Amino acid sequence: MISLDAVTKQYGGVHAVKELTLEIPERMLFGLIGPNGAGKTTALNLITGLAAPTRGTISLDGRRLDRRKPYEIAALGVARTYQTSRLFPYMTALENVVVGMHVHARDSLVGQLAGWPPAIAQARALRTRARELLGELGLSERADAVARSLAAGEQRRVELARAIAAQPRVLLLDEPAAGLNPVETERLRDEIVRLVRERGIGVLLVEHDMALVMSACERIAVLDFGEKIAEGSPAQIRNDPKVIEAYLGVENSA
Amino acid sequence: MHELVAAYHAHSALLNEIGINALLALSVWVTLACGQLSLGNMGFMAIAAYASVLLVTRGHWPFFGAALTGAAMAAAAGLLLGWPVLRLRGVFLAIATIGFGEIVRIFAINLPFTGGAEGIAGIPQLVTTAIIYSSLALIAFLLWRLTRSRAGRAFAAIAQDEVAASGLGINPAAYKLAAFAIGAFIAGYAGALAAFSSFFISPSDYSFGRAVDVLAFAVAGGIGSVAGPIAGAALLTLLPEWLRFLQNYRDVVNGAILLLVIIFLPQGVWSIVRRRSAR
Repeated sequence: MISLDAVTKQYGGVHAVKELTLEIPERMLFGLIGPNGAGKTTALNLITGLAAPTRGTISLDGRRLDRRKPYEIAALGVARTYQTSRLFPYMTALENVVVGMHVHARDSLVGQLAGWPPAIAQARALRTRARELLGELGLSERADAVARSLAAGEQRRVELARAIAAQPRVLLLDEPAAGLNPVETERLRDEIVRLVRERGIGVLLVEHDMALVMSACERIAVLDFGEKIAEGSPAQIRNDPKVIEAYLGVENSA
Repeated sequence: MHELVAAYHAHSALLNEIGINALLALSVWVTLACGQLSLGNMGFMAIAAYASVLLVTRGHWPFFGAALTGAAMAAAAGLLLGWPVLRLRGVFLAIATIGFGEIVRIFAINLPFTGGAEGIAGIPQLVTTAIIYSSLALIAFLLWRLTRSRAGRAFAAIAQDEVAASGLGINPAAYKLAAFAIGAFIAGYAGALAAFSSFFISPSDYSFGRAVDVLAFAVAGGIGSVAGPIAGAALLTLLPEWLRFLQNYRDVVNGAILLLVIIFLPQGVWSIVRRRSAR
């Protein structure tokens, strides 16, 4: 579904991402791991159009994504969350999720301006759907709380709900477990797995939490200094000598 | 009843000024709602005022046709200005739009058909208090509905986090341009109303100082809702009248009150009313 073909991103003399080739199939939970500064977030920014690749191509179902604007890429069905929450701080959790529906919410502007009842009913239906979505993520009681007043874990789940509300084909999660306690992480894992199973969304999970990635993902790619050093099933990754050297080795010795 | 009629006749000019200032405050509010600080509204006001006055006095157009045409010209100017300055943010955008306002004012002084620094006199009094307030009611209603619509949600999203907004499929440039054009249209329409409720217009009516006053209306009233800028315009237009007895110290007290509002009521004066009604 999403393919990166020999994608390179250079900042001056530094290769943030070098000759990266990835193929994320439909309905797959795909993990992208690597030490700090390995280029994981850069890879996400390249896919979502926040940065343009220096070389190489990125496509979604054969349609080129590179050189497109972020909002066009989002409209094609790519949603994401961010390392530090980027909720709209002064909106409620519910309003955040409703904004997430922007691409599909076609309530007519003229109808809304005139206060035409069907248009108002449409807007109300969006809010109902947003409330259901928050309920599924266990946030019913926080739906009307202002986003910036939410706890960090709640903010992450609202951000997830907002991304799901966009009905994406592929969802990019940038370290969703950072700052969560083990119980919250467990719950997040179940939610992500459910996303793939029940909604058929492809997920690219960028994560530091090895346990989470190993237990949740079907396939994993490992980045080190911007280059892919390994790709395979969790078992293959766990036993790959290059990965152990670059990443796991440090963890094991600690 | 007679007292009311007498009071209306004594104060109708002030009443009209409040209504027009409220429209101007709404015009700057629209761009603020989309996260843009634009101070070019006097330029839009001037374009529509001169255009509508010339259309009526020389072209013998009916008032509403001339006012709406003038406002449409202001909106077109808003699009033309919005396109190149869209990349600018915050204070840089504010400076660019101030520049636009000054350019329009200098054109008004120097063009052959705008009457120079003395302006145009003898404008027929075609605008009544009723016209001003029904226009205000209609525009405020439409803006209130806008805040509830998909476009209004996109405006708020762009204002609060542009990157996150574009990550959800919202095209920031398109909505910012729309906000610019809507703001310019409202400022222009207010300019036409103002021109036809006074006897003359001159370039000094569209000074930078007035643009700042209008921004103060919106900020003091509160930019969280449509009612805020209207309340702010009413308060800050009436305040100098109430403070008349202070004579030369009037502006000082006026400024002090504005500062107090910003410090103690950062959500604007209207937030008091909202808090009361929420209880």
